[in-house]
Amino acid sequence: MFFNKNSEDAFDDLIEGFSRGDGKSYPEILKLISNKVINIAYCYTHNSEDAKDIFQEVSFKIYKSLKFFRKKAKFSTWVYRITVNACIDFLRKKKYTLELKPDILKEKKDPLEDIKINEKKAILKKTIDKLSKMQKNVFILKHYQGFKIEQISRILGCSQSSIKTHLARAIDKLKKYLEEK
Amino acid sequence: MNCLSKKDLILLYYEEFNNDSLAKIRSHLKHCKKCFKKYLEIEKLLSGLEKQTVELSKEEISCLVENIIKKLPEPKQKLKLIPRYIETLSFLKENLAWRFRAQPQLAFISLALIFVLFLSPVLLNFKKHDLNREFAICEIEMELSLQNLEIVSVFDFFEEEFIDQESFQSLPILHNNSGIIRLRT
Repeated sequence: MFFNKNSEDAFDDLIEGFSRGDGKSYPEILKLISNKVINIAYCYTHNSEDAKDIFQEVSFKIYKSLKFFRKKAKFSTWVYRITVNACIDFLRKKKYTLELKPDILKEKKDPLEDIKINEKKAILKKTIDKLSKMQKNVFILKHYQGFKIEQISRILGCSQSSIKTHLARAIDKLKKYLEEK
Repeated sequence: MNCLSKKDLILLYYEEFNNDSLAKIRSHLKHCKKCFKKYLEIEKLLSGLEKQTVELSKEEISCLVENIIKKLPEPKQKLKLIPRYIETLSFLKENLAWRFRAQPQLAFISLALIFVLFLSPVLLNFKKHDLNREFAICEIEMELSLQNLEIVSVFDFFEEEFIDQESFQSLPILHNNSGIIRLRT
């Protein structure tokens, strides 16, 4: 799910290639990070097209800043931080409201079942959107992306104890909103 | 062991504990019905939240990356300076820089010489370009032409006409911007 040590070594080699002017390094970097970035973006936007737009935005930001990357943190941590910030900016610009997006309604096997599932998904998405910015970030990275608390603290730049607190509060709120529905 | 907090139960669900802590917590849950019940509620809630994933094929990813590469801005090309000037500058830099670093007084003297060279034309022509003095001279000439007067300087004092200081002092005075001038009608 997340990058292992081999991937991090591969990133180091590709970054060195990029700084030397190797034209093939940057596309390879993008291919390696694409799935992860798009999935994180999808958790925020609930729409694959918007997630691809965010991936494009992240790619441009990486392209501009890669030569200044100092390797103080892992490359993957840096990419995730850019991704989370890009998602937040995207939502702020679009003033995202929850709608049933076309890609949710795919194969209609049982229409009633579909409606129930979509309703459930819509309620869940609405509930997650009601969380505070920090709680949403922590919940998405922990529950949907499977990051460890230590990784999340590095991505978001907070202490582990505050991450745990935000996670607990997010789940409390989710429970409360879902019980109301 | 004390009862587990909600935070601990959530971390337990996400497997955030090390082996030692995990063993203690599991043994507590075996004996504490209250904590076990709370854990089941949390497990039911979190497992019911479906994970949202998007799977893109390799072709889709390649296509996406290609589009991004096409939209990237072209790298700015550095301006091509005239090679001869670059060569001269690099030659000076290589050959003089170390000398000035070794003997900084050389650098100071060179700068002083350059400064003097630049300023010398201005200093030499200074007197010629004193406008106030030139205006004063014009003013005197004008007065003299109007009054048919002749300036008498102190050096005339030594001429035969003026024997003593008293005679010189008695001459009329013309005041102008340059000072006092004695006149002889």
